[in-house]
Amino acid sequence: MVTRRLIKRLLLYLAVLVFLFVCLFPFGWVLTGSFHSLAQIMEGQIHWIPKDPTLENYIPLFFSKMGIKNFPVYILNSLMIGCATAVLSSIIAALGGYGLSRYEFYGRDVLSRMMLFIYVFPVVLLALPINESMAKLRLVDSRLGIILIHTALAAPFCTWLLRSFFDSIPKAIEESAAVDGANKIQTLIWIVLPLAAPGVLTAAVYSLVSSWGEQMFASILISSDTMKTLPLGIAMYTSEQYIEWGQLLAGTVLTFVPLLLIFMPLSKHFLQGFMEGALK
Amino acid sequence: MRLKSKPRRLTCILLGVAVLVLINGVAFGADKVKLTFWHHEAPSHRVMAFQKAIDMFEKEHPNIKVKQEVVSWGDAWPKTLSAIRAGTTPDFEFDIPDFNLSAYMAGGIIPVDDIVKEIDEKYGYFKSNVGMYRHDGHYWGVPIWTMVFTWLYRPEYLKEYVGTTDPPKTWDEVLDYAKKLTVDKDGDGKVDIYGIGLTASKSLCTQEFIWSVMTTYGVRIYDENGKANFNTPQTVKALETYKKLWEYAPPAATGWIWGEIEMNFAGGKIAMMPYFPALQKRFYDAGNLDLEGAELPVPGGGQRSTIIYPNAIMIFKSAEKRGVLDEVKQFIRFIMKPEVNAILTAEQEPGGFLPVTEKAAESQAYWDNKYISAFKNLNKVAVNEVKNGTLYGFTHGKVVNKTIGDVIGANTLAEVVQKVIIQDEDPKNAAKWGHKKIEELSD
Amino acid sequence: MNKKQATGLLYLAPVLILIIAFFLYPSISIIKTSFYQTRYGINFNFAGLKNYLVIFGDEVFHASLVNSLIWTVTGLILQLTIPLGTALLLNQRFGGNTFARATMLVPWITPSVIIAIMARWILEPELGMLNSILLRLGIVDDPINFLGSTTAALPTLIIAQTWQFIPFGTLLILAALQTIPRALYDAMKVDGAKPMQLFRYLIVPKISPMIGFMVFLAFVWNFNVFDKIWLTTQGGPVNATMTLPVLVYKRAFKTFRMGQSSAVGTITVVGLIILGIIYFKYLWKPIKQE
Repeated sequence: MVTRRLIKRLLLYLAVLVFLFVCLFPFGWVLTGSFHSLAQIMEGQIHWIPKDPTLENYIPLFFSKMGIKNFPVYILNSLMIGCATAVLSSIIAALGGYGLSRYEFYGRDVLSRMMLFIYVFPVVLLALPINESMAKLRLVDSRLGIILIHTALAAPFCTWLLRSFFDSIPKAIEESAAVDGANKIQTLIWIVLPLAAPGVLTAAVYSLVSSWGEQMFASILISSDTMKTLPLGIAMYTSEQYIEWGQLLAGTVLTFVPLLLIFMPLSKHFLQGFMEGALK
Repeated sequence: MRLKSKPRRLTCILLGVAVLVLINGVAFGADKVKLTFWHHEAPSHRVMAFQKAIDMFEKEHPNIKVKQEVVSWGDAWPKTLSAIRAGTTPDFEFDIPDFNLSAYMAGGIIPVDDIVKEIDEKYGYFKSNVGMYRHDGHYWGVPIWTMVFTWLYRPEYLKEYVGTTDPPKTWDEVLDYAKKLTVDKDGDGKVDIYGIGLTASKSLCTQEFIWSVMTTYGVRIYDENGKANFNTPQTVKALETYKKLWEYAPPAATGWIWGEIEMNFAGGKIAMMPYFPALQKRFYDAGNLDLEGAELPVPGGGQRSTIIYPNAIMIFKSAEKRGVLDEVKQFIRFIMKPEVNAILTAEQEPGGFLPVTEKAAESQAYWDNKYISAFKNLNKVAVNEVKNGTLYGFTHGKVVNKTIGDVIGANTLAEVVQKVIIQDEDPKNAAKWGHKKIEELSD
Repeated sequence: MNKKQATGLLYLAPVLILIIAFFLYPSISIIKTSFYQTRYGINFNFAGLKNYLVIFGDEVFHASLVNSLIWTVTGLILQLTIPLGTALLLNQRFGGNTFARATMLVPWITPSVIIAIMARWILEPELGMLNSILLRLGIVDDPINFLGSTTAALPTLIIAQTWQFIPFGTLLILAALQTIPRALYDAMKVDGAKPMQLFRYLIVPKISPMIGFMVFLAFVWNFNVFDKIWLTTQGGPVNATMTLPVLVYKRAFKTFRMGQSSAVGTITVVGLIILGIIYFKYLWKPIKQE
């Protein structure tokens, strides 16, 4: 009986390991590859443990002598745009979600569904008209323009997610606050939001992740190298003749690592929040 | 409750970062004339070469500030088109002939006759290159450098498996060489070296490869009046040759574009291929000098030819509107000086970018470059072949049909190749299909 | 409308403004363009239904439509069944549980550019890692041309797309599974329920809201994929991986036929709206009410 349980246990761990391996091996391979010399990469001589690990692929990304193709700048831009998007879209989503949850009005259910449904629009198609509107607002080649677009892409989903959170908070709590003399906005900020904090955090993380990877709008709107985000930076190493494979792999690692560093500590909360939103 | 306060703290941190973002991004003014241009040469050493030329220019013209912005080739079309529509173009941009036509059709650029004429008089343009930018009675692009395919090969491989270091002269000879060069070194039943490198992916890259074969057969996409002229015996023969060559190409090559081709050639998997001699930098830097190039092979009794790609500057209407046309021309004049031009050719991408004027092709600055002199013979061949080259649809000394940009953009030639190589269709049908497609895109 | 209703809408105003500015307004401009003939976005000439007629008769559109269906439906099936299996397998407590779950989210947050680069590099037939493993293990005799053959390209990309979604899907289903109290399992087992019955009468009803949500999530997530396809195959070889979003992009930016591109887009959006109405009317509600 004990051995059977032990075997079952071992099998479970094996399954988990296999599953994790399948999920992660491409990242591991790229990580290892990025520490190989260009010659080894070009000849396909990659080993899980690099024979003579080298930083030659990373150095040019950090220390290129010009303000162009400068990875630290790309990382900073992605961070700024991602965080601003996260904050802006969680605020907008919190307001929207609260409105949907607490007020009865005509078309409320349709609006609520629309928050999810608009994602069926093929975004590719919207690029040209959006670019023209942004040009009219003089927001082409600016961080603010990208932040607005990324917020528009993330906020509806977050609104939908937060609505379920607010739905699960009993109205009685607010009513008692109202008795104490707090107005609606005060109640929202000091009573309701803290209770929905896991949801707000999830919304913020979701917005950050979606902003981090967005490439199409960024590539059409941004031209200055000082404004480029990581996906644009990395795209400069691909596509045409003379692919710098070594730097491309190193750039891939650098594009992903900051996101991981931000995401991993939050992933537990994110998952929990996402699940609660989806299940409610 | 502990669990809830943590997210809250994190939210506060995020909020703080956002405030920082808003403070950041204050523009600064300057009374200098500022020029902005887009180019598409993302590799670091190319960007540095550009900056070197810019720095020299700014030193000579202290009142002008020039800013380069890199737009990858993949983004060039959508970005330029959107910018023209939204009125947010830079002052000028580097282009290739079909890209130039697209910008012209979208109503974004102005004629540049005077500066082309000036440079032609001073340095002598190679005629075939500059004609690709002429239509509607004007020049619309100022060629800065050009690109060319040569027949690249690994002399050591030829010596070992063919018994000579002389490159093949005709396509029949190529087939013979390729057969001998497709070898299984260790006898494990798997091919280790392929005789020839080609591609059949749905990409511009494939169109360059097929055109390098087509041009030697004298294929013309349009006749002199701009009517589709693709369904010809020459096209069929070129496709047949491509198909025969394919037998000695890696099967995987159906999905390759430049990056994979270069990786495999440098990795020693390929013995010969038609390609830009740009690989010389990579070979030299890796301490490998086993690289040589010759004129492209010809069909028996055919004409010597190759594919050329003059890269030009197009000037946007926005530059005229901003009143910086003179400054833009000053910059163009400056980078066309042979000694400066050498920075944008030999130094930017040795073998990849070649002089487009007689004077620049003779200049000491070009030939003194360490890469150029290390592969002297290859580079002599390349510089010389610039005069013999053609480009799809641009074969009549001027533009005869402005929809060639659409034909290339739609990957029509690549699709013709895919029909023959991947779907195993009769080259005759493929040529017919291509012809029909070109006609369709003409209206 | 009374004051309370107005206040409710006021809370919603920011997100609604964003939706109008970035989704509705551009969509209307696209629908308008679809009735015009225009090259390179200039010289608009009213063309009535001409763009639609051209598109309906276009073999590439037919191929894209079929590919989009295959892409979305196969993706959906794989992305629901596989996570269900793995979730049932992993629905137990074990050490390192939390860590494993956090790590599993990694593929899902990976930007598409990175997926595309990894795919091109790892799947490269001659020098790529996956083929060299397959060859060494003797699973294949010749390298598989993952992205370069008409037969393999679409399945390869579907698998890449599924690979990215599986861990996340697994976690979502796991979460739903964990809302089922242990006691319920035990009670049913005491009553003599077999594993299949447990699945049918306990697990399925409990996780079906989540499955309903995932159907929607995965559908939208699959259908609109553009960059992963564009950055790996550009819709090729031939038209093997050409889907509707890729076609829209190509018509707009490679052959500069905005009218046709907009027509494809409009057809797509209308089709999706109809699907969406059906979904929300017949699938969403019953699930939500359980």
